[in-house]
Amino acid sequence: MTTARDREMQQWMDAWHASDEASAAPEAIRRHVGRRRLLFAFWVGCEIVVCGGMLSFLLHRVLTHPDPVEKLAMGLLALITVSALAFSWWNWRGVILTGTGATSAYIALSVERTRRFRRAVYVGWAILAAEVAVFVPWISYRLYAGPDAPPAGAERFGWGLLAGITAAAVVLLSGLHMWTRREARILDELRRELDEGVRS
Amino acid sequence: MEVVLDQPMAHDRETRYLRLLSEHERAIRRLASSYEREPARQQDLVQDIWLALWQALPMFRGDCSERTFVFRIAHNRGVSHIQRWRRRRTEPLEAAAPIPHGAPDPEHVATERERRQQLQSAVQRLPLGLRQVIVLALEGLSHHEIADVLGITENNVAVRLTRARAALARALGSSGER
Repeated sequence: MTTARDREMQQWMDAWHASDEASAAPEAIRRHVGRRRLLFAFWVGCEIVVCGGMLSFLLHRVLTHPDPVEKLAMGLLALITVSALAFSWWNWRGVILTGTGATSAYIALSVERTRRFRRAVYVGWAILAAEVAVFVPWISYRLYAGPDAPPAGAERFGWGLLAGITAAAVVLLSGLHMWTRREARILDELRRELDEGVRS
Repeated sequence: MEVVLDQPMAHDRETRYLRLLSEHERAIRRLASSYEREPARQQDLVQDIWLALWQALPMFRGDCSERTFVFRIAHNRGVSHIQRWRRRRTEPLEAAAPIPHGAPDPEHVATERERRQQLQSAVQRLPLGLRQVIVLALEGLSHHEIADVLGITENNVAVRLTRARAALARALGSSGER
């Protein structure tokens, strides 16, 4: 038996489906998906080239440079790079793929991603500190180990570059730290809104 | 009618994707309209949903219907869409345009388009938890399927649906709670 409520729902369903406008979207969607797939492949390719290139360079210096201090510094930087890559792999395992679960599980996954992102930021601070700890003695060694005073330009360049890169990393990490806090707050709001219909 | 694949890996990814695209494209656009009012952003959301579906397709193992799978991905992207725009601190969707009026006037015969716009605006104004449920109900999903898409119990679906329908009826100036 059809009740008034059923009829009302049916009217809404009819209205909901009725006004479908003709759309050229499928072709546009296919092009968009194709572009994004290429972009993703390009991004992954760039990461592999940059990380691989950096590691190759560092290992080449370790193996071929005659100076033991240079070998040690490059070896430590290679170790930091490998550790960062290993941490990244460990940190993001299981949460990087597209969430295919129900919405509640998806929100939980997003919360977990944010938590791991925050952990990555903390480790980012540690990596920055480690790199500074390697670069400071290495730059000092390169500039001041010889009998002559270093050229002023080289000194400015060496310390200036380290200071600039460190400052940029501090700004970036601070920004990411704030971003994760905001992200956690937004997710919390969304979770509350999803429950709102039942609790109110 | 629901289609549950007996052999999830039977078709290759591209073929299956194109089939899903042709079968669900309109439903996904309607769903996107419940998350986003602004047409350009709505189109972005639709494209995001299809991109996510392309990425997720290899993970489909046939443990739910394809339709459930598609709607799960779509709602998840919808939630991410809200998240993204809040991150940018832009005006939330719910606070925008008023509901176009016309229904209370018995002399006025609304066109299909007007009715659709009224309904769409009213749906957009519902709290997220109710909005998700009513959109899936309007798409014709059963309580069981809605529960499966959203990860809530069927009782919870029934409660939310009752509240969503009452809220819609009030917003549209129709019979309301009975």
